[in-house]
Amino acid sequence: MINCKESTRLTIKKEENKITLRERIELSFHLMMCKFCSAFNVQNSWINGVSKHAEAHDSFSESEKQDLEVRMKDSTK
Amino acid sequence: MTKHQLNPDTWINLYADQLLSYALVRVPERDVAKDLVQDTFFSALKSKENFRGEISEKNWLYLVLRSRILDYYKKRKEVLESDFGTDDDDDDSFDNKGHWMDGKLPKEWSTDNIIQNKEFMQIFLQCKSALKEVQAQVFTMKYIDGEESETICKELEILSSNYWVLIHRAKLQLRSCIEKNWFDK
Repeated sequence: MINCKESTRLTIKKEENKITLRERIELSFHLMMCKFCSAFNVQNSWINGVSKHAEAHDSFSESEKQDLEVRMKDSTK
Repeated sequence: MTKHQLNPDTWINLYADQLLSYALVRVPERDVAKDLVQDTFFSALKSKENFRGEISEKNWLYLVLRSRILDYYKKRKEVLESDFGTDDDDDDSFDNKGHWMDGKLPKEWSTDNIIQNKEFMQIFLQCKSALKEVQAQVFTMKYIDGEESETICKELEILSSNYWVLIHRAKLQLRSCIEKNWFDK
């Protein structure tokens, strides 16, 4: 029987089809019996989906832009 | 087919903020992202003779930025070698029998309508930045940019055994951080 640490490791490896048939069976068994690892399994996939949408919204301040403009001009001299 | 043109005078106004936001998702600090955007403009200016007009100016600048980010990862990886860790050390998610530690037991999440939530996205990025830098790098390459694990190992020159330890640790930490800072609040 595999423990929870091993089950989370296999959960992640399974995403890339990098586990053996025996590991796959052992993982399925573990997930049926362990609600915590089962929650990890679901949340792990959800985090993968969220990651694809990761975005930030930031901007340069006016002074940073002016500074950048000066440096760009200098860099071509 | 119309050839695309470069207009460097317009770059800052048109693209600086978008490129900054793109870089911010991928590197740990704003100052680093800012420097990478600056380097992108410099090296784009230097190599503008090589621009053949086959893709848009904007896409070309993004390609230059992506290559700057990869160079940054490679350079940082040299100094981060000590953060690789092994499967056994520095693991606060499980006890020595491989059972979940009490404070780390995954709870139920209610995840409806969260992906569009800007505040959640900030927490997500903060939690990613809180990872060890090399963990955050492989996580970003794999799950944000969708690279294959083989490509990541090759580009960063890491063993696949190191890769799996880094990804496993990154996922555990990130999950726990998101739970603590979003779902528990």
